[in-house]
Amino acid sequence: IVPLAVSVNRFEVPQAAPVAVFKLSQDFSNDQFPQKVNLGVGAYRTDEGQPWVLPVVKKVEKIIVHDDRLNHEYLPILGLPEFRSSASKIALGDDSPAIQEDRVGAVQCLGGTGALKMGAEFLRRFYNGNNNTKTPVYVSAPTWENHNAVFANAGFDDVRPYKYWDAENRGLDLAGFLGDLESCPEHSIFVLHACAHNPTGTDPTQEQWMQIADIMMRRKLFVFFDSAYQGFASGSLEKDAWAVRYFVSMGFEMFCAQSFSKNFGLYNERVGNLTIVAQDADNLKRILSQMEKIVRTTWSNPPSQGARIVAITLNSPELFSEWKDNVKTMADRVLLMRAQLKAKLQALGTPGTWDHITEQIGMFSFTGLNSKQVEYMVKEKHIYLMASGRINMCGLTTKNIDYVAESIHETVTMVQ
Amino acid sequence: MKIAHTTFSWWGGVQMGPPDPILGVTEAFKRDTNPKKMNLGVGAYRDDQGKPFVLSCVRKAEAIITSKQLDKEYLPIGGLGEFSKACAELALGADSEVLKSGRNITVQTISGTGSLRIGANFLSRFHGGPLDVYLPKPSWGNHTPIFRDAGMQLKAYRYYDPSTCGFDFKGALDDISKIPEQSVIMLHACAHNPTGVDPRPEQWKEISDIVKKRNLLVFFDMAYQGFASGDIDRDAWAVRYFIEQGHNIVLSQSFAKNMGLYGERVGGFTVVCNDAEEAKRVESQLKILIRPIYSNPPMNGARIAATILNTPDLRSIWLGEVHGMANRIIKMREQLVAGLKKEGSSHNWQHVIDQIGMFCFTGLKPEQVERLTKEFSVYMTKDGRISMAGVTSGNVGYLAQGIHAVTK
Repeated sequence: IVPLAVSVNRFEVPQAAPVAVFKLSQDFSNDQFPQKVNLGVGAYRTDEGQPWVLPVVKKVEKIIVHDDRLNHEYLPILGLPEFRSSASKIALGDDSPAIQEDRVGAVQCLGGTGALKMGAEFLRRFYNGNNNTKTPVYVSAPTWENHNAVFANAGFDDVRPYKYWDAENRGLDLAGFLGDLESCPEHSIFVLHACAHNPTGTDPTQEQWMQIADIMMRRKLFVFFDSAYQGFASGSLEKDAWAVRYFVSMGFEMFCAQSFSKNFGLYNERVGNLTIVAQDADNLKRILSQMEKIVRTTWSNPPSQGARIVAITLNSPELFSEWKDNVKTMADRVLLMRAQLKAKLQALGTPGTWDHITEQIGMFSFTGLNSKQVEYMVKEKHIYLMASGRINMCGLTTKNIDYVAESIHETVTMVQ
Repeated sequence: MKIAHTTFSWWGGVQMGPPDPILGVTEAFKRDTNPKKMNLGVGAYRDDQGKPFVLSCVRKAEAIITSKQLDKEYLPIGGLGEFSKACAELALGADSEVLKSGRNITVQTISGTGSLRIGANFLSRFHGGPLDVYLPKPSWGNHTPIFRDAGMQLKAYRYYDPSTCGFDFKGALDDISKIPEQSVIMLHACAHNPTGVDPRPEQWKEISDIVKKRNLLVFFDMAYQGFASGDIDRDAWAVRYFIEQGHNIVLSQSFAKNMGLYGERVGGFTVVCNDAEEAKRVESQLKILIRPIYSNPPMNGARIAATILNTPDLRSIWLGEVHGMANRIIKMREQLVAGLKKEGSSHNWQHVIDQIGMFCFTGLKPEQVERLTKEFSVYMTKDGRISMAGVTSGNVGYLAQGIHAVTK
């Protein structure tokens, strides 16, 4: 075989840096240290440190496998109808006036990422003019690292941070946040975390959300919620959806990207939903018709298995109840680990304040460890966490929590 | 506090999008109440009762998978390793030098569409030559918007000869010989969509030669491996020949049709590189492209496909079932032509038998298509393409009637 001469320089393809969170998992995998702990990637773990397929999911999968009426035919472009509507109801509430007014629609997408992607592509094409790639997109500082790439790849030239995390006080920088809302260009797009902020675990209070909403309404800013942890944060679906529902009640035209990866444990089935709240049914119709075109050139139609599992569960009162219990099981374990970690650090007399461990909510905690301390944790203690100091509370178990607490204590005292 | 609705909406200027030309056909079909209606639009296989066909190898694979009680942890960005490996082997042949030297990178994608889109995005970002993709005329309708959305320009080369309902070999070679160097050329590996017209091996050889002369980058779309002739190796012949001839191709594969896994979205994208080192660099960049679209691909379908390909018994069953599906289609082609003769049609319908794969380019004009739909409730795309998979021994006579009525 004689390879074509042109192919030698055909692709100028440099080696890309690996995605940090996956590299962390890789390094953890390769580590032989017996007491190693993985506080990296965001997936739920049981107290045995194992992945957990929700009992209700197992049950529903059996139902699907035994239902001879089901096949593997294409879903419609926008996805499984009963999934889309029940998923939107989860976010907005069964009795949502917006739903009753026929102005809520949805696009089934590949996970939360896919929902953000579809929303971003639509906004780039149709928001604030046509193909206005200059519209600023604001993401929180810090935020889930993929937010930047999703919007940049959708064509937005100007993805910027809005103030969010106050490192000094380990809490929300409300003044900074509100200041950015006041000073940003009108019509800017804001990506808001519906609950259980990733990576800080710090959410605005209800009063603070009301202040945020006021400014956004007055300054005509676009509301794009990222809801990846509904139910997982507090254990209550309603409580975790408060901000989204409040904004809907304010009358915003908005998007909400939902993920069912965590609250259904369906990570690898890629189950997501972009809920669209429009001003009226006519707007909604036109929006959905354009969404179809965007879907068609990206993946044509979404995968059916995960959506079926969620739809069957949400549409059966018994299964829905069982699901809520499963969600509460996960949320409760996280809350327990938070309480225990804080208690142990306080008992050890670890320098600093550790209230933020229990004040923060959801899967993640921004420990406040600096990058040198993180490096020490990884290299010396074989405890793997993100360079930002973010830990996944699900990585903690009753068996490793003492080791982790002691390691944090040692790190904080040895490394400044 | 509730703010009063204003009449201003962000979306006031958003136009109603037209229905998808292919998938829109099914939506129209569903609305029709005529009991004799036929859906010959989208290329989804139907059995002789007109029902969706779940392959028995798929059901068996599902049972095996269920019994393993696997977790649902995220797949890597590039997908399920055992799937990607088997996917590449299926296309390239297990003894392929490319696989032995590790100079391919194959990632799991969201079926064929997702694969084409990733490929288009990759070329758009890294291709050193002109960002012009030359499609055969005609091509699958979705090719154009996919490449366009990825930032590439669309051009065409002659392919289908309406006067013969066959391959315009001379026209193709003529046009290809004029394509600017280092442009991208799209080739349908087998069972060309929408025409069903494939080059013969001798013709493929000449195409390969001229493509080499012009230094073009070859993008193969293989959505019907197994469906064309019934033999997966035969259907991959062109792909393998081009690789042997030194073309470092890029390749999209779909398992929607040949495994009936349509809604599970199973596909693969392959880049054949100079060496394993280049493949590693390309892989790293593919991941960067995939992550902001959907992070990582869905497990279910890939797991089924991998189980089938990697379990000798199941693979055997699968090959038989693919063969069976292809055979039923061939039979329907023969019956349709016989039916048209019986109706008294004076036209030459030989192309219906000569064409290969799921689709038949009938030669019907748009007005005739419209009549066929309005008067007979036979649904197909405007270009005269019918999906033979939607034809059964029960309705082939009715179809012949309808076609004859609008063409006599």
